[in-house]
Amino acid sequence: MLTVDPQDKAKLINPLFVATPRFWIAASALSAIVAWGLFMYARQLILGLGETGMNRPTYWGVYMVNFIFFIGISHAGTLISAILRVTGAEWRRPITRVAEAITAFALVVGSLQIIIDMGRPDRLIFVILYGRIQSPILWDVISVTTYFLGSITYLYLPLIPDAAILRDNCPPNAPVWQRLLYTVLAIGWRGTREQWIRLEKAIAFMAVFIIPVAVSVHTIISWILATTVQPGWHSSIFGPYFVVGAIFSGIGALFIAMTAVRKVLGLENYIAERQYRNLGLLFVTMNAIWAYFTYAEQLSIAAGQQLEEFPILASKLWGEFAPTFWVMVVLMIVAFWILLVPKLLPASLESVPFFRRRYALASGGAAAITLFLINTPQPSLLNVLITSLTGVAVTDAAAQTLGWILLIVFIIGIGLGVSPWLKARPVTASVIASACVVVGMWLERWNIILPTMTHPRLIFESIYQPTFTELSLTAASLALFALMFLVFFKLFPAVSIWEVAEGRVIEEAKSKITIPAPAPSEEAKQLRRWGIKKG
Amino acid sequence: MEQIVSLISAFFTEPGPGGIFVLLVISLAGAVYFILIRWILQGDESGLPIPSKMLKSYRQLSSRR
Amino acid sequence: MRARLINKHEAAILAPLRDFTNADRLLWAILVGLIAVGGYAYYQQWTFGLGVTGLNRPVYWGVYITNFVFFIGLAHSGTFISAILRLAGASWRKPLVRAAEAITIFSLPFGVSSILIDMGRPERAFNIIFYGRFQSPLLWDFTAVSLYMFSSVVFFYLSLLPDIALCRDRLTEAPAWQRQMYRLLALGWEGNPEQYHRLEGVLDGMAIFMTLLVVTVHTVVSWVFGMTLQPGWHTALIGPFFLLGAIFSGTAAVVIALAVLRRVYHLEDILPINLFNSLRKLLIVFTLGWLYMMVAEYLTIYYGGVTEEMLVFWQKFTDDFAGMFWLMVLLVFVIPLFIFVFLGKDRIGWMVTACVLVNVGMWLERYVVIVPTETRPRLIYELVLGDYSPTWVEGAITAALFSGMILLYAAFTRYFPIVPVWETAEEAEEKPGETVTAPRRRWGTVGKTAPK
Repeated sequence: MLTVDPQDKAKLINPLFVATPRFWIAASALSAIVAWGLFMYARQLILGLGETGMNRPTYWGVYMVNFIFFIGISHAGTLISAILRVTGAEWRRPITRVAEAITAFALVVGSLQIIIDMGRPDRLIFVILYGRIQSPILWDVISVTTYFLGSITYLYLPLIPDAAILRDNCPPNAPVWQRLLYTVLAIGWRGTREQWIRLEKAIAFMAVFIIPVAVSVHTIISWILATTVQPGWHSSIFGPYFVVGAIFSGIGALFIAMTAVRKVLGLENYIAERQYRNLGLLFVTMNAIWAYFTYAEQLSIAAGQQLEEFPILASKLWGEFAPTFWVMVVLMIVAFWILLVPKLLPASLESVPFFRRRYALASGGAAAITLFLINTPQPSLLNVLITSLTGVAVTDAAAQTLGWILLIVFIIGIGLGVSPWLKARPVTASVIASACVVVGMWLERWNIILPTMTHPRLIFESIYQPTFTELSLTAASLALFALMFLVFFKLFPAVSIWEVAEGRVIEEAKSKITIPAPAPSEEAKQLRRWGIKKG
Repeated sequence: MEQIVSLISAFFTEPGPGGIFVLLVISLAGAVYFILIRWILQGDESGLPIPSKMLKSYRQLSSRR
Repeated sequence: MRARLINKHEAAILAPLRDFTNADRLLWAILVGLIAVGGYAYYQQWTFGLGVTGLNRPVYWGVYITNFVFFIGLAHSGTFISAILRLAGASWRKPLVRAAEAITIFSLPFGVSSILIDMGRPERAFNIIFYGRFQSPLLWDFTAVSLYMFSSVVFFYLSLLPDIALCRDRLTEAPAWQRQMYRLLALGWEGNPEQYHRLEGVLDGMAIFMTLLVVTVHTVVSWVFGMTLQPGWHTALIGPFFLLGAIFSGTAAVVIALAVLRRVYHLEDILPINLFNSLRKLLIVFTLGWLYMMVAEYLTIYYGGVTEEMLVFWQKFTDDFAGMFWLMVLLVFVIPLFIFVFLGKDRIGWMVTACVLVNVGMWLERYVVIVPTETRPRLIYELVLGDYSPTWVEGAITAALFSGMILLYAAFTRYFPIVPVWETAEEAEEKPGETVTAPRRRWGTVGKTAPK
């Protein structure tokens, strides 16, 4: 009979047996969107892929962007659970379950995108019947499947002791099916010493095993693009670039998910500032590395100026993909700023006038006005304004340059004004930055796939407009992801109970200064009695 | 204003100005390092011994939690 | 007056400075001899022109540029260990710091001089300053490498400063010129706590700057190749590729240097075996990471099947350079990975063997990146089927460069402590009632267990 600390029980176990109206409303809303998606998919299946915006030569569109996006997000779990476990970072403990759940569900939804993308999904079996080992698509199927099975295992193994705890700690009025679920999943776990040792070994093995698998997954996905000769795709940097981008977007998704869980379930004691701070540092580092890779990529194309390659870069810098490209760049810079600058500024700066919110607002207004003025057609209002203010006649080009410089100054003003406010709210800041990053990374996938598809090597250019079907199915995919997440965390504790209890024991043992933490749980006492050491 | 714009475009296209960039960077670095080294050497006796200073700041950190 | 820091290994660390054996004299004689031969070779080149080398059209970059990239790559070891690991909060790196940075300091000049040696008219190097064009990767290269060299010297000097003062105070039996040298270089360092505090702060700040510089320098060096259109060079991956390769070969060089120092100067207590185990883990990660990049590079090229690229590809895989290429693969991956994983733990001998192989292999790798592309350049009419055979002049100069680096390094270890005395010192005694373990927090170190 496994017992658990009363605070853990209150926060982590009891909510699993109470289905609040809030839960039902959320579940119904998400299910409705998913049902809508199913309907649209059935429609697409019957009426054909003409319902989407895809054509020749743009045969990969929003679905492929979603595919890469979701598989990218799935790298969250591996990074947090496996790499941090292998390097012995104790702060990962409260967030491993959320991370692993994201991985599993993102993989499911991501793989669904491929099926949705196919006009004849029954042909999926051809990969097995007529597979060619030299095809990157076959490697992709193999690696994603391996990763999926590995992730499920890696999600399940640490779940076993928790399932056993739940089995033993069900309230008396718990439904039979729920108790049965936990009993089955706990596969007779008793918490004996031998069982713990074996479980630890298994988890450690999976952690080391799953890291190269995860790296291979996103590398191989990138090679589906890079092994073609399409301009903009045929670049050797794609392998590492995609892996870095995946980890980056994964951390963003993890921030959002763990904040949601923390807010809804009231887990402030478990998912605390330490997690946000350390994850934030990783996030900033990945942002910088991603920016480095992006810059290296684009600079190569810019310097090469090759006939087919350069139009793609041009379309991103000032062509039809300029809005998506520059929005992505701005979002990433904003995220970087939000994550880094509040850390660097001392809190006392709030007293300096320029660093207050009202000045940020004023700067924002000025920036908006400047942006408007820059984009007015010639003869520009900006020119007139400058001439009247300074009495110096300027050309339109010079006025434009000045306008852009002022815009940047004002935007920096916004950034500085908001920084002390962000510094006081690390959780909010992280979520804002993560939202920017997640959207930005979706745009980044778009910017990789679509410009090349619309400016291919041999065929003429084309235009791609996503249709309502594609947008519905994207919304439905996101809803499906959220729904799976919601249901999973209604049935299982959001924080891994035994890992957190273990962490408390280790911390108390290591530090010589007493932490005002809850008394160690029964389980932790049991572990100590058996002298099981971790870390 | 035109002069500034033409100056900037000349910097990027004509040979010559790029070299100024090199000299500027190296001289700036040199100046910064000189000032830093002088600042380090100007540290005097009034500072507290390191161990308790480290501990003191650590204590401040831990009490602010 | 002094901070209450003592180092119980001080005597052992300073012992090499009090000695100068016959083995030293022999080593220096050999090295000076090699340098003299190299000097003569350069004189030949200066008098008769670059024709005495194997360089020609279209292979205008050969052994000298290989040396350049290789030495700049070696230099990244020091910065990686002293700056990047400092930021990551890996405190085990402390005894290694100076030995690693010394590699940086003493390999950078030889990298830079490789460029000058490569020039038939070296005085034209000033054209970069007089006629520099901002859009040229060569200009960025010049700027970045100069800044890196300058900053590394300053960083090195700052971390050496307290130990120079220590030498000034302790080595009273040294000859007068040596004591004068210490006195001058110590800049009046007193060693009071405030000075130490400021020094640590500056070193922390410079560590961040140096990390950014390392990334910039080797990326920019790679862009000298990557921004051309030559097949085999014009890949976007070349930036991270060179960077990881540099850190990889640099870390391997650090292992070699440490093992030699440990044996020759009897520093077994100060450089314990778990240092080598930590480096071993890093080296495994780097080997695998670099293998990953190689696969990414060549798979992309092979599947693309672009005509010009494939010519260079086959040059490396089956044609003229196949021998060197596969030898490189053997020396950089196959054998070292096997040794690191299965034989390296707690065995310094095997680690050193693997690291020597890694460095030889990395030199070959630089050669294999640079030369095959030039033998099959893009413009088809130049398909004269370029060829390149290095001559004795290039070989002698290369040997001289390596000898110079080793000589400077060996000389350094006889005049300055190779293990930082002040960084590895511990507090003398604690005041009663205060707890001892207060880990110094740096930038919210990831992975360090600090109580919440």
